[in-house]
Amino acid sequence: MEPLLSVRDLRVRFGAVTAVDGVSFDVLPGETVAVVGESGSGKSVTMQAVMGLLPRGAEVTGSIVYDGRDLLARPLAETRKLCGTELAMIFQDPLSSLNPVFRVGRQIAESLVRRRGASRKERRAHAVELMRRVGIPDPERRVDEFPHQFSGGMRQRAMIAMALSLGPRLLIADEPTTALDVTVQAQIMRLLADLRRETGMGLALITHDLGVVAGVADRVVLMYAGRVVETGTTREVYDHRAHPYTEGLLASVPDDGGRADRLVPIPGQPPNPLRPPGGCPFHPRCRYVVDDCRTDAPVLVELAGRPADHRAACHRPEAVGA
Amino acid sequence: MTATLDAPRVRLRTKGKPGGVRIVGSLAVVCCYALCAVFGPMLFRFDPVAVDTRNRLLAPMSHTSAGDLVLFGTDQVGQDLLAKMMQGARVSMTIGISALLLSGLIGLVFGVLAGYFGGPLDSLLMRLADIQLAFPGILLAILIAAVLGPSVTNVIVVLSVSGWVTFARVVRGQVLATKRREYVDATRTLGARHWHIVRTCILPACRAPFLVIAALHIGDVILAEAALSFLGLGTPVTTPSWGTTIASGRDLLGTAWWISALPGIGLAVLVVAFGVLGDALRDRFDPKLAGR
Repeated sequence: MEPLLSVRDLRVRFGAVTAVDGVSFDVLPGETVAVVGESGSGKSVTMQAVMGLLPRGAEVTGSIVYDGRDLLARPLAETRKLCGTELAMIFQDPLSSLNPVFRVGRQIAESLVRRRGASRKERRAHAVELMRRVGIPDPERRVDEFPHQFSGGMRQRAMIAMALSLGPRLLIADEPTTALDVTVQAQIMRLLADLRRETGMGLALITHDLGVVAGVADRVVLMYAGRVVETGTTREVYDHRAHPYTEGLLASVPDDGGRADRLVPIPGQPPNPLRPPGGCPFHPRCRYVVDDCRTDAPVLVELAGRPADHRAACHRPEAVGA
Repeated sequence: MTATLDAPRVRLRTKGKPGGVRIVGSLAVVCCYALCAVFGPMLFRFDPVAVDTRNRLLAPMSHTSAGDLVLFGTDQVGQDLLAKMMQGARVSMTIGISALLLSGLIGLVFGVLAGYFGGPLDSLLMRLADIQLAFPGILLAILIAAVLGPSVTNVIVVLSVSGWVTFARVVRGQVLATKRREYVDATRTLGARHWHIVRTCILPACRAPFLVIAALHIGDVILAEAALSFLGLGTPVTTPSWGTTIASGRDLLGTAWWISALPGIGLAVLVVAFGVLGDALRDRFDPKLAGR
């Protein structure tokens, strides 16, 4: 199948800082891909590059091919045209991503009015319909409320309604559940999964929560210090982890391996982006470090005896999980 | 002990939104002036060239030869000072509001351009603002007024040119703070262009600070107009603004103090009312002062 979104060798630099360093991944139509990593791993910057949201000072190289068109090679105005109709995005903090001065209903249906020529009278009906679709109770009343009158979960639902209003083929969700209560998180993830199934859109899910990933993602892309360290189908990566960072993340998720008493943290800190360590960026925190790791940066390669799409960037993948 | 602890707590609770009394009070004063400016000249016909030498230099609260009460007295050519002040209020407030709107518009446009697009345009506009701020405003106004000559339109132009900087600075700051907000990015991801973002995200966020600056600024504008007129560089003598009226009474301060003093007091009260209004609006809308 032709990928819907194909990111190849993406590099983003802000002055002396390389935030994203040679990232490649694909999102197929109708597929959920989770991009996982801790703060500063470059996962959000990658998606901002796709949506053309990076500030002016950013240096972006590589290619971002959406549906056969390289977005980086074309003017930003063309990406803007795709935004909403083809690509859509929802953000981490649903309060700050809603405009505080307009009624929620108006914001939800605004792009229908602006892009599809819906009349202002139809706007309300569209908004109510979209709000019902994302499970906002009593939409006829809530359509006239302001964002501050909504709870966190309802705001995120409103954001999702807004993003879906033009029927995009790819939805990018930047940590959509981070700012929400745990119970609400589950509801929002279920809603996203349901909507993805209904519409057949691709979903790129940015998260740092492997617990979220396991339930919904078809494939995972694990990022560390601006690079992809491991990628593959979710099942494959969980069962046959081939990078020590993946192993560390899985060990720090509650309920993994049945050890309910203590979680195992990854020692140390993520590298300072101004002074990245030589060789493998993970080596100062790695249990399996050898001399090679300190000098040579490993590349993302297929693993012997595993499916072809399972790749890891490690000198000693066989040591992990052994 | 308990009393001293309770007192501020009760006050805080009853306070609600800050500055309510001050906003209502100062607005009432401003409205009085506005009513006088609009309806006063309709009730007291004022003729700028009329001369009534029998009734010149009457003190406030005295009666004319025809038996009418002159509340504010008369000037050196026998004109009723109250009528003259009402006419002056009309001129001064028209000039003040026009200059305010014009400088506000210039400041808003420049501020949004500088803040939203940034880069060289931002540097250019803000250096321009710096240069103008480094130069005394009234001096600049006098310079331009001297070149353009006295007329109502010219005064408006002069005051707008010297007043846009404050608006531009405040608006630019607000734009810079707003444009990195997530809902602006969210709007962008739905395909919105610059104009749409400016209209729906940027301008509404500028509304409150803009109003505050406008209320603080209009007092300055009216005062500057009076100063220019006093110096003979503002409105022509045939258009009696407060500045020209004050200037005309300058030589008679010893014998007829009211010709200069009453318009001066009127001017001061209006400017103070606008100042109080601006402060109260800022207390209510400036998030940095909230919760103090």
